[in-house]
Amino acid sequence: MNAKKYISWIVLILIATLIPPILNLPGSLQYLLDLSLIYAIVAIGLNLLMGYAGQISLGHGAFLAVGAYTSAYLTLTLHVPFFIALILSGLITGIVGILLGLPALKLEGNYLAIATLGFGVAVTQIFAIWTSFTGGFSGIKPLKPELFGFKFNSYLSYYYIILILTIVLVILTWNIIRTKVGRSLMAMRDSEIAAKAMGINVSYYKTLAFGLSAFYTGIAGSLYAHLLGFMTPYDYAFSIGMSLNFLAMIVIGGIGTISGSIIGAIIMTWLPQITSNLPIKSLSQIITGAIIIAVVIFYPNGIAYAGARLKDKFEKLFAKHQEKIVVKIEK
Amino acid sequence: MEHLIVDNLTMEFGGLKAVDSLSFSVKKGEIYGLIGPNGAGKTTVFNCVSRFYNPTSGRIIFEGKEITKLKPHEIIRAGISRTFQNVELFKHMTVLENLLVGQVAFTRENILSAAFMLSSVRKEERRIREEAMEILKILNIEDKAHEYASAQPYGIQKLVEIGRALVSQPRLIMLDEPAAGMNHSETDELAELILKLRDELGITILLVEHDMSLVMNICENICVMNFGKKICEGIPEKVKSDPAVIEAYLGGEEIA
Ligand SMILES: Nc1ncnc2c1ncn2[C@@H]1O[C@H](COP(=O)(O)OP(=O)(O)O)[C@@H](O)[C@H]1O
Ligand SMILES: [Mg+2]
Repeated sequence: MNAKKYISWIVLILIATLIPPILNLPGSLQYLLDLSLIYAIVAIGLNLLMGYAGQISLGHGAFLAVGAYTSAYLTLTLHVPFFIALILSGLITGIVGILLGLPALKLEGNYLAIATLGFGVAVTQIFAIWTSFTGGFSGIKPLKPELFGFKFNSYLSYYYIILILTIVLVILTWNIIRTKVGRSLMAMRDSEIAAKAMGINVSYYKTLAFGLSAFYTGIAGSLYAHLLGFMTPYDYAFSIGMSLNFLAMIVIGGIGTISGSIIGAIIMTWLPQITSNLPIKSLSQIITGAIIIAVVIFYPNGIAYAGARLKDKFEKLFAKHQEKIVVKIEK
Repeated sequence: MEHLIVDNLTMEFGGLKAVDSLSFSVKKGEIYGLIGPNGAGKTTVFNCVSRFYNPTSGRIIFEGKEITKLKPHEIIRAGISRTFQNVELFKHMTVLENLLVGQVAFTRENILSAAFMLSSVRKEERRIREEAMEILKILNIEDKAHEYASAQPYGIQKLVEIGRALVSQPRLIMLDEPAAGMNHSETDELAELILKLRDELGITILLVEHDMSLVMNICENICVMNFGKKICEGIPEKVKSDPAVIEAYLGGEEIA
């Protein structure tokens, strides 16, 4: 990573750290901020699978549910400390991801999409029936997280747990994608036969991609459970609709980029909120939809790429300008 | 010494014998040409050695060991690497990254050590980058290292593929029509490069190529295929004047 990129990430982290207390947002908006970072973690995981490994999933809402209920069960029933439950939720969801990845080895493209869709539907149905685990329609109340005796009761204090985890996961992801595993995933995405000829065990890496992606989503699921005061299997975040939302996040933000995953998650979480203040209720959804379509048409590679292109243009413009000055001076 | 032995190889596709009881052997340090009209079965032979195809019958022996039961991803570790007739680069990766993929089978990093960027991973990454840059220098395309592979002209893409096959330090390299789409001077440079790979790096080369002057100039031995069968084998002079070969090529390319 070059120095410029490094500095811009640090500035971003500073902004993300300082803005919420300065703005002193009302609870509902701080909740939304927490939520957008949780979704950013899901989007990064989904992007690893789709953007880097070239596999599709329309079932990430279900992974979120697996992570959320695992964490709720571990903390409520087994009294496991929050932080350990968080990691375990990631690992257990990761195992579920690997199990889904195995049949996916035989499937490609549309068929894989349908299979993951089926998985998404099945999990929500099972969780709805499995009341001893999920509480069913009457729901359960996940505990507010506690670390070293400090209870993270407010959305603002919890925000910092989520922020730190997001930063850690971004760094780990960055390291993974620019080394052997990342290169193997991208190689397999671009040409499966060349990847095989280069010694890449394609079955292994496809399964790994599913497991890894589910791991991230499981972590996010745990964070989500403890953000909510009350949770049922009918929660929108666990639904197929949300799975499609996750897909929209990475398409809008930028397939195959970490920054795009975060941008997409923030846009898709806040856009409905911003447009909901409009006088006509259904207008909000229409405008959200229209904006998504516009982004996909005008920035088919996502906003992260569009941003990079814009920066390039500015730099070129600036460089030209500098050249002119140099020429003038030389004259 | 026999480096690669193809022994009585047959590959059928639903009744069509793409390769039909083919036998030939390549000596260590040799540049061996595999030629024949389009559809003769040359690429199919490569795909059998690469293990993409399971031969209907026959054996393939490399360095004394039968490799006919290996999986496709195990072939590179056995010491064989290849290029593809229709360039198979990793399009959305840079030229350098394409070469680094050729190294993944030989690096010890795993997902955890990489995620936490342990010093062993840093060291290994630095080493494989240096090695890949060395190869790019040999190919004279080090200035393209950070450009996207798909943005390169066809001739350069072919070189990148050779580079990617080289970073694994193979003992046998299979080139499938490397000169296709190259102009005269590029083909001359390619010929020099292939000789260099053999003379300086000691790599055995199995070459499929339609450019007859290239084949006749650099190959020590040639196997000519037609309809999956071997119709002639030997040194370039013998092959050139063989009636069966001339017959097979009649109306096709002229033999220089
Ligand atoms: N996967 C395949 N399925 C069916 N037929 C194939 C397959 N691969 C090659 N063939 C057939 O085998 C024959 C030889 O093809 P190929 O090895 O590509 O020839 P060459 O490389 O000598 O031009 C052709 O008739 C081709 O259509
Ligand atoms: Mg061919």
